[in-house]
Amino acid sequence: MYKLKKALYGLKQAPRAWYSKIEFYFCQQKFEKCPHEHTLFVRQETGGKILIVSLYVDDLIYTGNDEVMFEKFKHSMESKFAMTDLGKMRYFLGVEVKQMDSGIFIY
Amino acid sequence: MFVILKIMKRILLQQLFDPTRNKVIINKDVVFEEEKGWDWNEKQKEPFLQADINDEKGDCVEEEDATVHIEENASNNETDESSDDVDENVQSHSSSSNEENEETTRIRQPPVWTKDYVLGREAKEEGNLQTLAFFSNREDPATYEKAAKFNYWKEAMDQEIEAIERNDTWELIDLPAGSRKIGVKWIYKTKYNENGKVEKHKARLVEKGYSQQYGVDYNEVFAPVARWDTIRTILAVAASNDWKVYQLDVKSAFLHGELLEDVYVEQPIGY
Repeated sequence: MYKLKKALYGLKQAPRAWYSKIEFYFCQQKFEKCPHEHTLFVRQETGGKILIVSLYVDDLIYTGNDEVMFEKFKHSMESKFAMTDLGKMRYFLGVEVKQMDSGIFIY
Repeated sequence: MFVILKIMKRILLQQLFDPTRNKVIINKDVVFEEEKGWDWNEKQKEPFLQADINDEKGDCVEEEDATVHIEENASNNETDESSDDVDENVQSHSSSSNEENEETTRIRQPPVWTKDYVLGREAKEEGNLQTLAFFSNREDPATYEKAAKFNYWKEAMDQEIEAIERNDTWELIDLPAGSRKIGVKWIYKTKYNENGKVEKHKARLVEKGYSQQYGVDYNEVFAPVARWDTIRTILAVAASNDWKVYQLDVKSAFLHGELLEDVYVEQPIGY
């Protein structure tokens, strides 16, 4: 017999427990949570630097205007959770995304 | 022109057979041509090959001869309409069945992995292939007993248990009196790469969450997910600022969640 400290797949509260965990992490990392969309987190730094993150269960996309913030965020996430770096967003929620110099295209 | 195979009672859908395409379709809007019949001698090639497959509904009317049974169908149809709990079903089912019909024009290709298998003569026709793909047994074992015979599944299970223990997911205890435990189950999945070759064997230990009781071993379950509008807005903002958008994926995300409730699970067999 085991007593669970953390969730396993199939548990009713598993998605909720995961969300609470990642939400707590974002708050710790000085992200601001959008009050109308609880999966949208924004972190701003002096000099107009901004990092925008959107979460879909275990998939997340991020964008912004500062390479240093990207790297810091990625490394922080990787040290906290096991991550797969998918690079540029190409496929999300069943939609294909093409990022080109002329703009971003969705299919 | 179609041959009627069945009428699914309650939901007023007709299952139709098109001998020219050797295909079964389902539709609500059917015009009965009672005067005409199908000339079976014109193209007699195992027309009822597929007819038997969808036989799970015992109350469906099985047709053997189109001309004779069309009248029977029509009368069945009328009695069905008088039954009361059909309205909602008709709406939703008719729209989805229409979509299905539009989809049949799409070119379908067999999955890459099927190249490694002999699919049988009947599978050469694409209509049959869909049916076959739907009904054929999966290769992956359904139970621990079946999987334990293979070393690669045992290794996969070892890895999963190791990951769970490394993650500090559980502690071994005696069940406190009056508490309930939840069953666990192994799910086995063979992962293929894009060339259809076996990439890895994955074993996932899952809990039978269906036996959980609200207030006892779970409370809050809601977890928000991003709306598609939000994603599109982010893309629009990125595009207008010439930003690039990147993507990360958390491995085994649910295993990170910490539990607030006391949840007890049984030990998986073999561990």
